[in-house]
Amino acid sequence: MEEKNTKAKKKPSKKNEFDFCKVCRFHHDHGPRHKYFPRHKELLSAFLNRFRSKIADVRFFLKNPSFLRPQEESQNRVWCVFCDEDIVELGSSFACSKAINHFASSEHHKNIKQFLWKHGPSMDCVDDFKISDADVAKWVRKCTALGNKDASSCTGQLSRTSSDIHNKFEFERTEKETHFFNPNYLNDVKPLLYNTNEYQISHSGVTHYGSHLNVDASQLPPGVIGMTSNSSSHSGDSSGNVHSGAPPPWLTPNDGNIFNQSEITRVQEKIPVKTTSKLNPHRVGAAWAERRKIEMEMEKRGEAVNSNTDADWLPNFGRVWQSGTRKDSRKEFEKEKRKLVVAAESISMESQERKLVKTESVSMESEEPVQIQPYVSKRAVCFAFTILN
Amino acid sequence: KKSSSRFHSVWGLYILKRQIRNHREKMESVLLPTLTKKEEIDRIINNTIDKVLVLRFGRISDENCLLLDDILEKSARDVSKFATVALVDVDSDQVQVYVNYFDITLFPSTVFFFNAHHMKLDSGTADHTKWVGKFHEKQDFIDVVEVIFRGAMKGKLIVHCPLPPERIPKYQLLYKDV
Repeated sequence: MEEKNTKAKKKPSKKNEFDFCKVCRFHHDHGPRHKYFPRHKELLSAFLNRFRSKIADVRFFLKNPSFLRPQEESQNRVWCVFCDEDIVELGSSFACSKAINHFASSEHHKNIKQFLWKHGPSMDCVDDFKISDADVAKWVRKCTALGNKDASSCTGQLSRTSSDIHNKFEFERTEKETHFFNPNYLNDVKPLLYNTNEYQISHSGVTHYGSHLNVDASQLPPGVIGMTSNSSSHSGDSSGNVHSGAPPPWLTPNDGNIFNQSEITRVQEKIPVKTTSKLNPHRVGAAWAERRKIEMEMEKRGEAVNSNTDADWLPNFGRVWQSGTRKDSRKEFEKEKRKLVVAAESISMESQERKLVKTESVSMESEEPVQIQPYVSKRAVCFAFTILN
Repeated sequence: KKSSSRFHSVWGLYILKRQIRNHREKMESVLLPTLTKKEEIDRIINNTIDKVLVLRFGRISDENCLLLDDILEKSARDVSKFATVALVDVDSDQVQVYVNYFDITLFPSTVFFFNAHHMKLDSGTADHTKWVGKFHEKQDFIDVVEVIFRGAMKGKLIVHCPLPPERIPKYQLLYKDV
């Protein structure tokens, strides 16, 4: 600051207050200039990319709505960086429903604009962080369709996967009796409510037994004293319980997290898309190499490949005494070859015609070897000449 | 002590000779392919993908050619990951097309290819399209092939020779009657 003051013509720069930049996570006094700094721009792009990936997850659920189980609620939270609030899915039946509604809201849009105005030099990525109303409407329709389809099984699942062990066996037994479930689902789980009928039945039994309690305890069925006789006898064998050391229902692998599946499918989608070719695409003959590799694979598989190597094929070569492109050098060479062939043919024809005439044939024969062997003739002769000298 | 040291030196020499013999046998058992037909040359050019192809044009009656072949054989394995080496017998008739096309007038000549494209080497001589003569030692050859490979991977069709001028064989190139 003082240095700037000493320079005669420059105005003293404003002293800005220290402000905290959410993106760079530090305090600075650069003022509004800060958002144009390259470091800030880099951090901003990283910051926005991170949030974009979170929104991509939410968008996945926008396209594929699935039910949200209570134990997964805590995993389904999103922190919206623009609104500075945590979106928790409390009591929502579908995954990311609150998040989707939030991202579609006008308040969120306003906050995005404010954020980008303050932190980002460019405002063009606003739409990346918004969810349009049309998409939301589609999602709602999908959800209702899904909801209608799986009404009973959905609720059965929900209630089964609740962490109440007492209720587990009851649900397995009475899964199809929806009239038990609906009122209870609405009112939150009341554990012993499910055992009502049982309880009432066995309660009378207990009282009945109770009178005989002192008489013969061995006559009582196991576990009945003062309690309902659960269906533990038949369900305990199949799925186990705490006493048998079976895993709790929320950790059973078959149920599986929605998120794991989505991750797996996304990873599986990505793998074939990424072509891991580390070779420089700009290397010499890259296109030819790729084509050749494909041809060789086809040959390996035994498919018929059009053999492009005919007798006249010549590689890409830049000749010594030619200037211009390599195609030119190849063309020139082929021209020379044709000339020589023509010359050789013409000579052979002439020699055939003049065979009978001695003098001329002699002269022609003497010329023949020189002309028919073109390549060695001049340069090699010169070279041999220089060596001899 | 003297006798024992002499014994050790003799024994050491014997071991060394045996090693050399074994090495040579090993090397000779994996000879470089000698090509005598145009189809063979075409095939090897077309089948060498993403590797430098070194084609030596020469005749085994030539002393320089033999020295060059020796160096090629010994370093073929070292460069095998990024180069293939082959010998072309220049006396064969079917190969004359290539001798013509590549303007080979001096033997031995070595031509370099990468992905069926000819790689040029500027070694300060008149002819950039090939390497004429022998190499001074194995490392020189390996350096040249490496430089060609690096240049080719970057997309360059001509590369600069890394060898100092005293190691580069000099020759006179004559154009037709000049």
